[in-house]
Amino acid sequence: MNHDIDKLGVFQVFTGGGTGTGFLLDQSVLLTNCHVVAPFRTVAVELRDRRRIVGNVRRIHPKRDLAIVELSVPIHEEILALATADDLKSKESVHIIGFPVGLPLSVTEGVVSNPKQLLAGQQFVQTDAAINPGNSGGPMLNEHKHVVAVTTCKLTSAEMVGFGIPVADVRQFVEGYADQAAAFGVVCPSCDTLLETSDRYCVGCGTDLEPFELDSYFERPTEHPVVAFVEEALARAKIDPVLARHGEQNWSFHSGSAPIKIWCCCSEHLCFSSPLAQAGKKQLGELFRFLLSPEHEPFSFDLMENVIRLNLTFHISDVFSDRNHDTESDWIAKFVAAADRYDNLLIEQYGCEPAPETQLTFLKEPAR
Amino acid sequence: MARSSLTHTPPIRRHRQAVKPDYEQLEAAVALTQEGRHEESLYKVLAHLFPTVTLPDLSVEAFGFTQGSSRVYVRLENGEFRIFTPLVRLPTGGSAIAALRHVLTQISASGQLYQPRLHGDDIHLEFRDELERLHPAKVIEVLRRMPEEADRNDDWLIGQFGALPLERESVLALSEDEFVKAEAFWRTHWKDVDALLQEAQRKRSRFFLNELTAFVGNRLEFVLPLCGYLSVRISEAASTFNDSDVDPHKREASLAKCTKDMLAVSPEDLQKSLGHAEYALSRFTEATPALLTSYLGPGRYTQTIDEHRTSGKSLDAALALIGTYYYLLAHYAWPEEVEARFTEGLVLTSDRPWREVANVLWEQSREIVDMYGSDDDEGDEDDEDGDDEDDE
Repeated sequence: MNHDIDKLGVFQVFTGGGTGTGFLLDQSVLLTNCHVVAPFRTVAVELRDRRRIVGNVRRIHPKRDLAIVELSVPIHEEILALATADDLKSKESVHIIGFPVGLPLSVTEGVVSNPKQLLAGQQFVQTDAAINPGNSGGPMLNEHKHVVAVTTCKLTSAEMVGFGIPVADVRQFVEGYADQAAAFGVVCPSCDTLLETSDRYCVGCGTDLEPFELDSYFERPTEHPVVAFVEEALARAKIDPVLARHGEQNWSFHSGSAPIKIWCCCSEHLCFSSPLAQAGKKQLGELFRFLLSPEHEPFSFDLMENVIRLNLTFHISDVFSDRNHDTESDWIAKFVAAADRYDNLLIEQYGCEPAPETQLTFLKEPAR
Repeated sequence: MARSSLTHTPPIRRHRQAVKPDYEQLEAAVALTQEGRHEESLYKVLAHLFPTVTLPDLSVEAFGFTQGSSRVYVRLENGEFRIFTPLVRLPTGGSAIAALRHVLTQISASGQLYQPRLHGDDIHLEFRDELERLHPAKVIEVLRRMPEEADRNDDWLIGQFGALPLERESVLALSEDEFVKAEAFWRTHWKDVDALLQEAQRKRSRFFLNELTAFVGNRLEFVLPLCGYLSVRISEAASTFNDSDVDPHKREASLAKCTKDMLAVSPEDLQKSLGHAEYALSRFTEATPALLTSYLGPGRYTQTIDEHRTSGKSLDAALALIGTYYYLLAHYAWPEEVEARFTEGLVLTSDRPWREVANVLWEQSREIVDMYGSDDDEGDEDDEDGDDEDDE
């Protein structure tokens, strides 16, 4: 297999629980793991130009760890075909495509160690190819660039023992999706019937579903107060929280050209930070004096290596306070707007260079 | 030359038991915050931290207190609460840029509520917030951390960049007798470290290196009232040699350089970095029985010490126990009887061979934990290895 992986329809998926990988079944449908998206019903999918689009989770199979996500905007990248034959052999080469540990799209290769390995009562394709957090939901390809499995997990207590969900199970899972009327459904772990409501017993086979805890997939996940605080403020700042999610109590997005990251650095602080620009070699005295000026309150600047960051920190008592959060929301909105404005200012007035994560395309556009 | 023992030096640093915070006032402050009585809550927080001080009307007059070399001011202005401490005035010339870069890289940061701000050429550390946004936990955090930051950085800015002091509090110089003892200890300590570092290079044991690098600072902090530029230089080197994530060779090289530099320090320079500073807020964390048990009670750490002690690695076990004793004494406020037991252990094992040190301190630490530790065995359980299949 030798080709430009950037052209493949494989994308990073972001939720409030973590990140993973997904691949296009057609221009508007993405396949990934259930554990990548659940319990969220809306996710973000990042395109090559780093813009994100919303995806709605339409169908999940918790037992077989598969999920179908319908994209809000069609994506025109290469669609990978599912292998039609189920004839994978040991020692056959496979390629894992995905976003390991949040890195850009990568490929690792290995061989099939066992095409029908039994694990917890289910069959998996076992491989020695490197699988890392973030690879989940990505395609495992054969030499003909056909999907032979969906990457799902590895053994942490062993070296080079990774697993994929066989393509036969994937084909069965996606079957009939085009005709699915329900906005959301969960596949019965016993008979593969698509359940559209949270019932105790399966309408198809009568299996008691309580031990499988499927009802949790039908409910909206409980929102942590930090999540509610941040996402309400982002919505007021006209940032779609779904598109900003980057794992548990982590958010990242661009405000125009400026990257913004939000996270809890400890149990006491909620941090907003934007790496804006890199200090140049001239006008440093003026630049540093500007950065330390009291005029920026409640924001501040710091230097991480040579990258100038705009920061805003909240104490956790601000989040858990009973009073309204108007002041905090106002600061967050101003922070988002200021980040987009300050990178231009630093570059134009103080001779700074764009930061590595600056979206150059948007640098010259008017600030928010 | 290899060391066969260590000599215990009694502290020259004045270990004054600080005024204990008044926790009733803190509880009252939290209740008042919940009732929306923010100004009253603020006064209660200050009464909690400074129980013996009569506070002025903060909207009329700032309340100031000394924390090491820094002077901290607290006041109310137009419904806002301000805490600030003047740090330094920028030097003239080229080193001003280096000083500003240092402030932006080392003092400004995300994840902290106070920040450095420049007023003309004067750098202050500042915190400002609306009264109604003040929770007691927030106020206490800033009042404790901001002066520490100032105390840590003013000497560096003055020593490295020629910045000028601003409202710097003077520290009481050591008496002649104290300085003689301090200098003798300084030389002995760094020669001990030099010898133990060679042992670490020979042993190639990460455990020993970790114990040695911790011992370096903890013994110094226990014995000396080190408050100036040298203290900051050691802290800077310690950020490498004490970091267990850094490559061991790099850590050893950093410690070797620091040791060499410290052995070369002149008596005059040492004297400039020694003094009895005042701290309105105790620098010591209040010790608890649970804390004692977490360090010296049953667990992985003491198990490792015991394994070394019983397998012919007495030096490793002895250094770990001595270092832990110094750490606990240097950083925590203990009940008098517990402090006396720790000190007794160090005196008993002074100049004794490693094997004896390891055995005596091991037995003694068991007794101390049995007598003063916590029975609560929650929270330090080893993680059970469960399902080792990991979603990726």
